[in-house]
Amino acid sequence: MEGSKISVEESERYCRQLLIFGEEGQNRLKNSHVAIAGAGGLGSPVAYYLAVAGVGSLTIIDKDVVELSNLNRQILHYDEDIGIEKVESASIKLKRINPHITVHAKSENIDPSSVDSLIGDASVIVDAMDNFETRYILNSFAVKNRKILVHGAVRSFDGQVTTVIPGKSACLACIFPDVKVSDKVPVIGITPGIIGLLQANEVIKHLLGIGEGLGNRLLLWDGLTGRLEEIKLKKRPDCPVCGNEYSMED
Amino acid sequence: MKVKVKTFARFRELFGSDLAIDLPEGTGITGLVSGICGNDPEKQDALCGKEGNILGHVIVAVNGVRLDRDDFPTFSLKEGDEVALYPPVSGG
Repeated sequence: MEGSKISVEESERYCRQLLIFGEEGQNRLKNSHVAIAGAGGLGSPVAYYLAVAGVGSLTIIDKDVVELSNLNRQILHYDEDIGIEKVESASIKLKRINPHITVHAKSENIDPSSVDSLIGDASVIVDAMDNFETRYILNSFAVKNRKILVHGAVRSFDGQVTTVIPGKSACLACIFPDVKVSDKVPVIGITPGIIGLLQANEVIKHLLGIGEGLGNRLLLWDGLTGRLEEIKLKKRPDCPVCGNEYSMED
Repeated sequence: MKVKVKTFARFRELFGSDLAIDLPEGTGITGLVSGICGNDPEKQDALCGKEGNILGHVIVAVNGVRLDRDDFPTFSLKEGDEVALYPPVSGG
């Protein structure tokens, strides 16, 4: 494949996963660019695990600064980071945990006019946001530009995950047409940890072209009963966002 | 006929989980949710309003497959169906 190849040192670093998908797969990860929208509860585990897996280029987008009340769940940030930009805090940790990757830190709000330049040429977008207003912006952008969108959201011990494959699967506007704005959502850090790792798993599978993705499947995690349920989904033909999209198979 | 109702997230706190409900033959989704809300204002606010119209954000699945809102008026439940009621979560 085109692009740069892993070094001898990287081969040692990734030797356990090379046993799964080989050097070709690792080179593929190295030459991939993933955008993570949100450096909070979900974004932290997603970024950590994509970084250590060797995804070569990560864009982290978040406008907030680190606050004390973030630290029960946003594991990229430490006590000494309080008051600094979350993307700066994230960038420092990620470069330390894997010096072979590039981190693009973008401390900006995601809105319809900024989303294009923020996401850039990333092929996959991870929705690690805390509100549906921004999720709908990411969804419209992903559908229009044919980028994979890996959605996750949490509340208390509950969480949900799905993947939007433009042209093939239901988009967020099909699945969640009318989610209300909510105020302070109760969260224990374990829940975004679990959901974030399911999102990271989706990203890795997609980048490598292996396994079965969560397109048209909504996973529901119930931490109190320890159950993972699945709801089968389909595109809504009248969806205002993806209803007029042609199928990728057309 | 008997149907099973599984609830998630906030609905589990409000309604309990894994409910076994006895309903008249031919009951639809609207009839089901009106039944489990009863006259409890908190349950109505969360799921179906006073008129029994399921709120727009609520995901309803029957036997593991999401049921489109447009199909609510014409859909009839059958003996043994398993209905999932899910209020999407939004935090991150």
